[in-house]
Amino acid sequence: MTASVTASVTDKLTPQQAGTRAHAVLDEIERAVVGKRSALELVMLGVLAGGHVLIEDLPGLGKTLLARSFATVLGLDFRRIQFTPDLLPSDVTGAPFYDQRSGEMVFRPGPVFAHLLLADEINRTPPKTQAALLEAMAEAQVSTDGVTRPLPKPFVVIATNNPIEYEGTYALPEAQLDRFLLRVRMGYLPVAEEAAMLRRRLDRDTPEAVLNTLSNPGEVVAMRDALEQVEVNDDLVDYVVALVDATRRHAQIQVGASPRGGLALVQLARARAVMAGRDYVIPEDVKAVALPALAHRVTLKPELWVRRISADDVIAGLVQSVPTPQTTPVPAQGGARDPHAPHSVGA
Amino acid sequence: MSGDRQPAGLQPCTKCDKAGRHLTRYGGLWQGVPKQLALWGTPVARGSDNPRVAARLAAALGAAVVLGVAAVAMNAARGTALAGEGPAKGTWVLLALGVIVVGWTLAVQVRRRQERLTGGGTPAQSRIASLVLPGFILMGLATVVGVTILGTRSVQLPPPPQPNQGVAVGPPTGVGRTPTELPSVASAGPSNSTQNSSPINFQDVLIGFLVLLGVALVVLLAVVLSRWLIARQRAGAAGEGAVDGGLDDGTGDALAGAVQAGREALADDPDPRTAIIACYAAMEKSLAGGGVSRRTADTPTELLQRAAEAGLVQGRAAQTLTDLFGEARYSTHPMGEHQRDQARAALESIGAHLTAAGAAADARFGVREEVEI
Repeated sequence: MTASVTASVTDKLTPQQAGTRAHAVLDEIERAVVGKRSALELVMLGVLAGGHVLIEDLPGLGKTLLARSFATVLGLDFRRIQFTPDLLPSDVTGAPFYDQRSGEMVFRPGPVFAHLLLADEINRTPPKTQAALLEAMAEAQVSTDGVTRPLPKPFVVIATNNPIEYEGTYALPEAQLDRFLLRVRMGYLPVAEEAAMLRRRLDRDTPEAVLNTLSNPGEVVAMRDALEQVEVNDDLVDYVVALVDATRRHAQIQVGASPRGGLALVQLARARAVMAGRDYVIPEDVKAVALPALAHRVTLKPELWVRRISADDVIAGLVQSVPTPQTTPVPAQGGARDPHAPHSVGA
Repeated sequence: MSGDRQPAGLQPCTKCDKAGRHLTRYGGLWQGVPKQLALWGTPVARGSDNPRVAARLAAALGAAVVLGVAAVAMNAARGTALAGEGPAKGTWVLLALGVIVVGWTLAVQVRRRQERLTGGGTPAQSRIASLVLPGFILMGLATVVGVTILGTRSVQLPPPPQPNQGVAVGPPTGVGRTPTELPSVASAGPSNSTQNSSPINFQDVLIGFLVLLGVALVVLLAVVLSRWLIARQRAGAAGEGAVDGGLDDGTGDALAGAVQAGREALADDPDPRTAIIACYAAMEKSLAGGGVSRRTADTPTELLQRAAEAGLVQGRAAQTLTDLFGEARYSTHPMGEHQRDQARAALESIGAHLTAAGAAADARFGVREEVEI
C-alpha cells in the first residue's frame, strides 16, 4: 500500500476521500479474505455507518478471519469473546474486584472495552449474557455498580451467528437483532475462487496473510463523520419510508421493521454513497442495502416456516415492488418544498 | 469459563431437547420448575413445533381409525375363516385384482409426475407428491383387506349342517364347521345374504364406500382446480411486470423524436440540471420506444442493465448519462456547462445506436408498453 493511504489523519474528510480510504482498506483485507468483496463491502458499510454487524453463516466460511482482518487493517483495538453457555454478563462488561492494597473495590474492564469486539458464536450464550451487550451496543456505554462508563470511539461489534445448529444454542431475541445495523451472509466461494484461495495458501509460507495497518481509530471516526456531508433527497426519504412501511403492511410479515430500520437504511445508503465517492444518495444505494438492513428486523408469520419462505425472500420481493422515485421530480406545491433541498437525517 | 456454573437442571427435554433453553429464555429460573411446565410456557417453541405435532397427531388419528375399521371387520368376520362364503365370495378376488390394477396405474402416473417434479417443483409440491404414492398403497391395501373380510361376513348366518332346514336365525356358530361342509353353505350364502337380518348390510357398506369415494373425488377436484387457478393468477401477475415490447411501424419516428426532444432540452433549458434530467427522460422514452420501458420499482441502473441485455444500448454513453442524471436529480451541486456537453454527446451516441438497433429488435419483441416518466 502506498504511503498516501496512511497519511496523517485529517480532522475532516470529504466523502470522496473517505471512499478512497475505505476502498484501500478493503483491498488490503481482500488479501486475507479472498473472493468476498461484496460481504467485505457490507461490513465496511456497517463500520462507516456507525453500526454493528451480524455475520450469519455456516462454520468455516471465514467469519472470524474477516472480523480480525478489519481490526488489523483499520488499526483498531481488537478483543474477542467466544460465547459459551456458561459465560456471565460480568465476563463481557467487566466487574469490580477487591484490591487488597488499597482496600477498595476496583473496576476491572471486560473485553467490551475495545474498539472492535468480535462476539464469536453469539447464539451459544444464554440471553442474559447476550443482553449484557445490549446497552453497550445501543448506547456505547457500560453501567455497573451505578457507574456509567463510556466505551472507546469508535465502538463496533461484529458478531457471528451459526444459523444451522439448534442443540445448545439460544436464538437471538428480536430486540437484540434490531440492534444490529445489518446482517451479512457470506456464502460459499465459487469453485474458481476457492481454488485461488487454496493456491494463495500454498504460495504463502505462513498460515495466514500478514496484513498492514492502514488506518487508525481517529481516521475511522473521521470517515464516519464524512457521512454527515452526504445529502439525501426528499424523494429518497419518502422511498425509504415506503420500503419500511411496506414491511409493516406485507401479508406474510407479522411484525414489520422498526423506525430504527428506517434510520439504518438511510445511514447505510449514505455509507454506500461514500464508498462510491458521491456526496449524494441515489435510489440504487437504498435498494442495494435494503435486504441486509431489513431482513433480520422482520418477523414472518409462523405458517411460513412450513413453506420454507425466509425473510430474505420476502424482503427481496418487496424491494422489487415498492416504486422508486420518479424520473422527473414532482414540482414543489405552492413553492413550499424545493425538490432539490438536501434533507438532513441524523441517527 | 469453568464448567461448574453449568446449571444442572438444563438437561434436554425428552420431547424437544429444548427445555433448558426455554427455561433460560423465559426468566432463567430453572430450579424446581418441571421441565414439561417450562415446555408448555413457551409460545415461540410451540409455534415452531406445531407442524410436527400436527403430523404426529394426524398419524395417530389415522392409525386409530384404521385399527377401528380393522376391529369392526374382524368382529364382523368372527368365527369365519378368511376364505369364507360371504356375499363377495368369488368376487372379492376380482375386486382385489381391480383395486391393485387401478392402484398400480395411479402409482405409476404419480411416480412419473414425481420424476418430472424433481428439482423443478416447489418444496410444498414435492412434499405432497412424496405422500401420494404411500397413500395409494395404503388405500389399496385397506380396500382389499376390508373387502376380503366383509366377503366372509354372512357365512355365519346359514345353519351349518343341513341346507334344506332353512335359515336359522341365531348367534353365529361357525366354530364347529369343518372345511368339508363349506361348499354346501356356499350355495346357501348368496341367496340368504340379501334377505337375512345381517348386522352389517353389505350393500349399505358398499354404497357408503362409494359415496365417500365420490366426496373425496369432488374435494380432490376442487383442490386441484383452485391450485391451478392460483398458479394461473400468479403467472399472470408475474407476466404483468414484463415490459419488453416490440418496435412498431412508428418506432423510427419515436426514437428520432425522443432524441430530438433530448437535444432540444439540452439546448433550450438555461439550467443544466433541468436540461440533463429532461435529456435522461428522453433517453428513457427512447428506450421504451425500443421495447424496454421503466418498471415502477426500477432504479436507473436496473433499467440500463435491462436495456443492455436487450442490446439497445452499448458502451459508456448510457452509463455516463445515467450517472449525470443521478447527480442532477438527487444532489444540490451546481451543475456546469461541461456536464451539459457530456450529456449531449452521450445522447447523440445513444440515438445513433438505437436507430441502428431498431430493425434488429423488431424481430425479437412483441408487445410494447407505455412508459411512465
